[in-house]
Amino acid sequence: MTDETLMLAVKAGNLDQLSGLFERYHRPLFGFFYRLLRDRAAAEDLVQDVFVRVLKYRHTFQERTSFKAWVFHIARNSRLDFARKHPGTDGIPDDEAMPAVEPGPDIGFGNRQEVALLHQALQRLPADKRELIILARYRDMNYQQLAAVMEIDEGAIRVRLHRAIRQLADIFHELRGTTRHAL
Amino acid sequence: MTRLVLVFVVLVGIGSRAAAQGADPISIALADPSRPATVNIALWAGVVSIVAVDNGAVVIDATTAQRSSPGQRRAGGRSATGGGVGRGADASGLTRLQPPAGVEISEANNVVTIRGPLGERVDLDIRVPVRTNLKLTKSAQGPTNSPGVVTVRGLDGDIEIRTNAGTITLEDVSGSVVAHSSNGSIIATVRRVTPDRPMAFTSYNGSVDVTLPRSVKANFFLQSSRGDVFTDFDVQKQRGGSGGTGEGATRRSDDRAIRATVNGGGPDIELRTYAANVYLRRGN
Amino acid sequence: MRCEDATDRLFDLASDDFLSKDPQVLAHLEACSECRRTVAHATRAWSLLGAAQEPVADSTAMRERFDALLENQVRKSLAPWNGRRALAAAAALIVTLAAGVLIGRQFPAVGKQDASYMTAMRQGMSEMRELLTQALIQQDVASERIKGVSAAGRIDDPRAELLTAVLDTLMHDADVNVRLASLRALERFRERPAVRQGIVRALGREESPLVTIALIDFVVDAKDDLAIETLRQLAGDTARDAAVRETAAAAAAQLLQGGV
Repeated sequence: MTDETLMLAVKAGNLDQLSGLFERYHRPLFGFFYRLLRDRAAAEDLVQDVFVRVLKYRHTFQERTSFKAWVFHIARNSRLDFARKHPGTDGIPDDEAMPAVEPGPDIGFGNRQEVALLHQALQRLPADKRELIILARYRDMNYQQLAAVMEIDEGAIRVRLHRAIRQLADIFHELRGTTRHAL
Repeated sequence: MTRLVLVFVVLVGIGSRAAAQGADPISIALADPSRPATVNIALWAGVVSIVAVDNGAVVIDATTAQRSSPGQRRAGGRSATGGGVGRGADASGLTRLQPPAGVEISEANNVVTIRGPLGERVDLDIRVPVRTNLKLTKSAQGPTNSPGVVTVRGLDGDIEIRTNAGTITLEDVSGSVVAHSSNGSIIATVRRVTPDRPMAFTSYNGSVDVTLPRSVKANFFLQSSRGDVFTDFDVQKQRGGSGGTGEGATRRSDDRAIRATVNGGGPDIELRTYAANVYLRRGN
Repeated sequence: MRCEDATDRLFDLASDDFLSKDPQVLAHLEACSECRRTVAHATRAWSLLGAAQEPVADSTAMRERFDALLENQVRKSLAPWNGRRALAAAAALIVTLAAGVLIGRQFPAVGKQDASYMTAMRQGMSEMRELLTQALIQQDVASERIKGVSAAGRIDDPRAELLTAVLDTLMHDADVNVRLASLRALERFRERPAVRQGIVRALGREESPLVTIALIDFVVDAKDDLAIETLRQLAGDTARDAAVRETAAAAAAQLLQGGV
């Protein structure tokens, strides 16, 4: 049963089917919010808020829409409203206060530091660029889905994403203090 | 919200003469004339005619062979039309109307129910508002010389008819139709079809002759076990039969159902008989 | 191609090495060390991003909150099942379900699924199907009951409960046309033992000659030998219409021969 079919069921009035979608999406949504905000409690609140909105706006879900794109679009709006209510969460975070990123088990020691630095760099990006990278890298969205989530066309999203990646790389390398060498 | 149901139940008179006895027409006002009416009829046998007119009431003319009870025409008393409780308390000078013996008529929440007595023939002549849903069941095999035909004209709604005897004629109806006569033909012209509603026109030994709008979208199931299937729709045939497609009547002969989609397909519409022919005609 | 044109097109998410496959871009890269550096740094950053583990969610806590939300919503907005509106929605739903199962993938592509999740999911689905079918079949309007059984017949691999509901309709619905539609819905599943047995039971008790003949055709097409005895009884039942008796007799003979 596809996500879309479940959501159409919810739209038609069978709210119980939202349970199945919660099962599939609460972790990806949590991951998205946590990577963005680095605040566990806030991330949990926002996941709940997403499902509140999914229920509230279920009648707007269109038959040919990708549910994944739709739910993350809602997630972005949730995050934007949250940022409005909690000013400062969007800005450049205090690196010391940030919880450390957990690197994967296979990362060597040297790389651990790099991974930490990279995520600091990520946090220094403006929130909307961070979102884009998180969706592309961690939620496996392709250009088409990203375009649907951000509600701009595919050509524009390519440019935006690529610029965000380059900006991330620049900040990262700044943090590393590495000078660029010719290749 | 249901109003109090007014039920007219009249006992069969003792020593009644076997003369046809009709009562005066009974007018049932609807609880909410702005909503469609529903008329449910359960009869043993009889001729039934239901015609749509532009009014807000259901007017029933019922005739049975039994003489109605002595109390049929009585002056004064409570208002006998479908008024609500508390209305029309003073009925002096009015005639109390009763349906003929054994016929029960009641109304609740826009649903008018007519029940005929078991084993008795009741002929009904009913005028209804255009937007009316109909459910009619006639259970008996009537005498072969008078099986009791059913005629419905002009209704727009969900029309459901099952009878064990008598031809069913549906003229200029709209909405959805699920009709069966086990011993009689079905002749129907449907002016407008409710989208996404399955329909069925079936008979055992009678022919099935249905005219539908040419724009109808449907998956047709056409079958006559011993007869032929004719249509002038341009069908994308999926199984069975022989012969060409296109303009003009097309003969098909097949034991099992011929499946055909029209205008890209849509809900299931079944035309079926065992012994006679099926005609699926393209209307306007 | 100049740097400013190339610089926004260096990458491609769809490409397995993250690098664009555009020949113009590749040609530029061969000639431009600045852009090569950009690609190298960005690729490194991108791959390091992947090194971070997925944050662990406290699923239990989140589940509890969600369940409370859903229960509240369901209580607030659930229309009675015998309301016409809910039924129209149910009908639309069954049709959508059928379409979704036919068109969509059988299994979700998102994330890893563990066995317990799939079990829970399947239970939810079949429960919903049953509820919907029951509701549609109980509808007052024959056209809606036909819609319900027809849609049930289009669902791939339905559970036994759903087929039982359709079989019940075949055996008990007051409307001939609804019974005919139920029979048609069961054609796809005529290899299932429960369906074959149910059809034979229906054959033994059906009163309408039209439906009886349809049932006889069904068992012949399904080559259901179980029906032979019932067919013989029908053929010998003098209360039955002559055509029904002949058809039953011919069907019994055909099944006995084992041919079509």
